Amino acid sequence: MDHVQFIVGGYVVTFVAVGVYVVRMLRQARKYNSAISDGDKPWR
Amino acid sequence: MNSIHPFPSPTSTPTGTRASRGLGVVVFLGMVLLTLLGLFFTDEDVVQGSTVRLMYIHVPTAWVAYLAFIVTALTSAMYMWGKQHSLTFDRIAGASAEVGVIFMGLSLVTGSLWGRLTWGTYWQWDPRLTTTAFLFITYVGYLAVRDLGGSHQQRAKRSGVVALLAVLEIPLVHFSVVLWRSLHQKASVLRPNGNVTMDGLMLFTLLFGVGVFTLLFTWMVLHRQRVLALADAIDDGGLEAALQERRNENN
Repeated sequence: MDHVQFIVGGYVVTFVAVGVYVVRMLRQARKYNSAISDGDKPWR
Repeated sequence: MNSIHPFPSPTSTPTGTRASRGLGVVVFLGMVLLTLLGLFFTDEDVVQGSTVRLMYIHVPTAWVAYLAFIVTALTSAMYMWGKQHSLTFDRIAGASAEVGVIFMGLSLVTGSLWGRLTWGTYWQWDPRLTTTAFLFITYVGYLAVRDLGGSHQQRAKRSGVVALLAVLEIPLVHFSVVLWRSLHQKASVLRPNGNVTMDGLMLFTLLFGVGVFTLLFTWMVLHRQRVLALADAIDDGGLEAALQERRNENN
């Protein structure tokens, strides 16, 4: 495969960016969760 | 004592449910399969060679960004014209715009890498690229408007107006390759004559990528709008505590 660094780089940037966003989001969820009662979580 | 792990398990997150966990597993497996198909199993293109492999993530990220901004507009309209003015719609709008900005940014980055290989440059002030960058900046602005402060209802009304105006840019971006002379290629699949000139596995991988990224978008928005609901509940709790303190001072 030619231009491996560009092609694989595109995939890596995409998955890393999504991964970082998801990890930050889930950490934020954990942080807020302790301050909120289950009554304020209608999905529970 | 609660501790916040640097890499929280998605299976134990407070915004997760049985259904969202199942969706998360499907998305993860789909992404693995998409990567294998895109990088190893599909053939190289006759004209573009191996650079066509970037298409399997570039097109889905652009599609998800469009979808996200349309969802933002629709849910904003549902908040504004719904009888109950439910803030759930506003939070879905905010979550969707945030995810859309991520994917629009990724579409610009992967498109830039692809452009470097096919056009010899990372960036050109080409109609499609310029309008896409403008769309990206518009939704960064939308997110900034959401953070201006005020009550949740003020936030919802203010950002709802911006969302309904901003979505009008999407047809301009999509048809920019037809309206003006552009370096960017025209539609490969959604052609007016319905004639798709793409190899079977390449077309399957592209459509599979669009499907998997759409499921990823659904999973991300589902969780993000729940995180926003938690944040709003904390805000409401803080406001209630401040009001109670003021009442106690007056008594």
